[in-house]
Amino acid sequence: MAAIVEIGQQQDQGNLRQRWSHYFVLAYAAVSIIVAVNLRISVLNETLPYSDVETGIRARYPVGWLIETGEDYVFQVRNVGRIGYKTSIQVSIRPVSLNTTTRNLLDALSLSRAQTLTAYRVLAIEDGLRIANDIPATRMRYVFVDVSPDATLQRIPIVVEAFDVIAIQEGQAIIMSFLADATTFEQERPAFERFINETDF
Amino acid sequence: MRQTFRSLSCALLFLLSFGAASSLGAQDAQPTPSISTSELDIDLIRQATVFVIQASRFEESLNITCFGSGTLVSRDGLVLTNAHHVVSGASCPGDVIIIALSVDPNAPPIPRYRAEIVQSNLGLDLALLRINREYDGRLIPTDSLALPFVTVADSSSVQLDDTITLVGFPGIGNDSVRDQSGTVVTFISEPGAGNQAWMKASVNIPASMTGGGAYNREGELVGIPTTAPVNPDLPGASCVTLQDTNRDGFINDSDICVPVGGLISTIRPSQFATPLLRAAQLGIRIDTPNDGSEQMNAASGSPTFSRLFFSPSVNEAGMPAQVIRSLPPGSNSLYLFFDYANMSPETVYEIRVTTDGVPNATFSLTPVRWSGGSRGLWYVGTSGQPIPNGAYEFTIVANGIPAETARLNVGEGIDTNPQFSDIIFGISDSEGNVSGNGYILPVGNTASAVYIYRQMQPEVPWAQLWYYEGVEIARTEQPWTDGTSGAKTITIQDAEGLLPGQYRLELYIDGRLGATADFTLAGAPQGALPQVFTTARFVRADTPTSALTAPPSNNFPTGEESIFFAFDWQNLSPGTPWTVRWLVDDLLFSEITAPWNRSPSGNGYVIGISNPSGLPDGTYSVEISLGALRLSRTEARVGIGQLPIDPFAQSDGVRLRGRILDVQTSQGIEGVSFILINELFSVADFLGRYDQSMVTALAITDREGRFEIDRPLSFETPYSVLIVADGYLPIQADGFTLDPEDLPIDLTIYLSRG
Repeated sequence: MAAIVEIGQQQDQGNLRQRWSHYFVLAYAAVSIIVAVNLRISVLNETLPYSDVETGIRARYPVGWLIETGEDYVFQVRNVGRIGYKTSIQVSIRPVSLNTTTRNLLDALSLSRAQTLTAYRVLAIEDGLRIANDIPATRMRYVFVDVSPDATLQRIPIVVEAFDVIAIQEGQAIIMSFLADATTFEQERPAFERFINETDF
Repeated sequence: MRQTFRSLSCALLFLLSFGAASSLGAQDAQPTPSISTSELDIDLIRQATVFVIQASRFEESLNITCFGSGTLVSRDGLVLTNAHHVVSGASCPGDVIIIALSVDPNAPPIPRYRAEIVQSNLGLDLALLRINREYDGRLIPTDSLALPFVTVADSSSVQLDDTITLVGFPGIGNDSVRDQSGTVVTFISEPGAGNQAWMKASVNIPASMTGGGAYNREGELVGIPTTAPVNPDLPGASCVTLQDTNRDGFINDSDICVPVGGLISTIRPSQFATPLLRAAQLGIRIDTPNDGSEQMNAASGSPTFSRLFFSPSVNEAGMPAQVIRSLPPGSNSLYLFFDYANMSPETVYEIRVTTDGVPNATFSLTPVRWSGGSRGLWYVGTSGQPIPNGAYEFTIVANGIPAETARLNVGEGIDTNPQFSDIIFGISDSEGNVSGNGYILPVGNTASAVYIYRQMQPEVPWAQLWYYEGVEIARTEQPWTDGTSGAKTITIQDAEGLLPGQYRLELYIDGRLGATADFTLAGAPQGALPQVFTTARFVRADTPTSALTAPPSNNFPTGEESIFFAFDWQNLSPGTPWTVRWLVDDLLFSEITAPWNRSPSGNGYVIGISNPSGLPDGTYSVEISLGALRLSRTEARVGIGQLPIDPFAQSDGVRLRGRILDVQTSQGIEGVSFILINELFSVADFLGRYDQSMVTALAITDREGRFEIDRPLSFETPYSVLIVADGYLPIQADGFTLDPEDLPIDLTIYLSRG
């Protein structure tokens, strides 16, 4: 025959010192979490300075991103630790004439990229942006498929989403490009926003 | 951050070591089985061997028109191959070139790229392609490629009996790359190419391996296995139909028939490819005036051959020492001479040799493209190779059809019949002394020939026949009145002056051709030597026309996009073969021989060289020659007058590759960065700046975790390594070196999540 056994509530009432100890541990843990989160954020957002005397560009790029200079751009930084497509920020300068418009530059960029980038397609062009020092800028959003040039390895092509921010200042066009895997583009985008905010021309 | 990074990785540091059969990882260190200790890095050679497909566009698809093998000879995608299966012509009419790579050495090649022809020589049957587009037709940015490649060696170092390995694709795209080893059994001579116009291997390989590579024991490319299939439209051709190219639903005779050849044992030495490669690497284009030389070189009928004879040796001008009908036993050189006409660079010719009725592969020449002009005197021969006794029969085959045959007995004993030999030409002075350079004489009233006679008997009938441009102009027949042996001088003269052009002398003994040689009259006399090309100079100008009046200059600034070379000429008959050679820092990068196609005398022949990116700094030279005689050399400096050094020009060094795996799953990790930091910096230095200028190479793993450093690494250089991937603990190490004994290095590296 079944029996019911009732267990009564036990109240463990520690002394005052024990209670304060518990409160202290909880508070300590909370503070530690906050400090750790802040530390993580600061580590993730840690940047290194970059300056180019010739072009007058000063910027800060994330630690852990590989910086390089090239003939086609002033500099480029890549998140080499990222698995998959290496999120990149590229800054380049093009000479312009008095008659050159931003749209002319965008068209030239598109024509050039259409020759080299697989499945290149412009998604949108937005005018009316303002970047550092309240400089007016235009943003062009586009996609393409990144195909590894290394033919001996088996690498699957990656859909890359990107945008250019173009500003014309003092007879030259400054083009800042942000390129990331299309699946994580929005997650990665804040890095570029910070980069733009910390860049002076 | 930096400190954290270091602390996380320090436990793994000691596990990172490089060397033979080494592996990296946080856990098991496993030796890799794919390490070779041989000097011949066959794995690299296989990777650098490509399958070349020529195709033509039909509606929206591509039809295969020709195929062959090729070899990557630079990291940015230069492919060395034969010209016959890539240059559009009657045999191979396609206009698209596809490059298929050996992604897996044990599997058929996979089409990956398109290429364009940057240099070619139809006669030598060599072409240099540059990979410039993805397979889908998209342009590949310059310098973005980093492909495995082999070093092109100096083929003149190859000796008889040296071991060589022939590499290529043995089938029509269904087979993996194949290598087959053998030895060099003979060298074959041809005019203008010295004693090593061709090498013969002891092994026969399938025709689709034409254009591949022949390698020495060090793994350097020393030759290009070559055979040329006959145009499918000609009776002697063989071909295969692969596709329904006209889309009529059937594969039949109305579809494109892809030409195929037989077995190959003939190898074009790499020394002929070196100028093409050099010109392509320097990006130099040569703009010669369009003066109809190609039309003059074109054939206008079926190939014909005549006046076949043998000679035991050839002089420096390419002329036979004497004419023989037999060779004594123990001979080691033999040349077959013949006159030819109606030949073109698309003509496929072949020499079939039998000894006592049995095919003799050693002395035969498999079907190859014609490298001479449209008409003239030619020879094929060998030297330094013992020739076994027997009855030899040499048959010339053109476009698959046997044409003429000549026979010779070897081992018959020393010829005791009267003999003429060693004709040379010059100008006689008033005392009868003949002087000059031998075969190129200035235009005047006389030309003399000196020759050797031996074993002559009194009253033996002999004759001298002189020809001008193939037409007999003088003849004497008389009994011999000189001694038994010695040297004799004979002269042809014309009071009105001999015309400039090509001459020939034939000497007969008792109705039999004893000796013969050709010579050229050109230029104004400068003593006994001809002055043909004058006022040769470099000039700076915008166009060839303005170059005619521009002042000469021997110094040009760095980055000059084009420079011109101009000269005047006198007494040079149209049709006379002349050669212009371009060198930079005394390295040949272009040699063009063509029939002269201007008036006999004139001013302002202009040739330009250009590079849209700027001509590389260097000392440029132009040499103009008639036959083997150099008549002019002019030099000019661009920039500092010395070529820049290309750090990636050599493939020597250690190739580093491997696999990066997840320590928990043992699965490859895609997208991991393997950063090789140069010897000037430590990992700590790099972490402070993350600067590309500190990086020797950056490799990214593929879907299976495989990576490969895209350039050979220096031996004994202390590199540093950093391996990073989000979500994994990084690995870093300083100061490891690579051992030349360990080729290639194949690593297995395990990463721990963290």
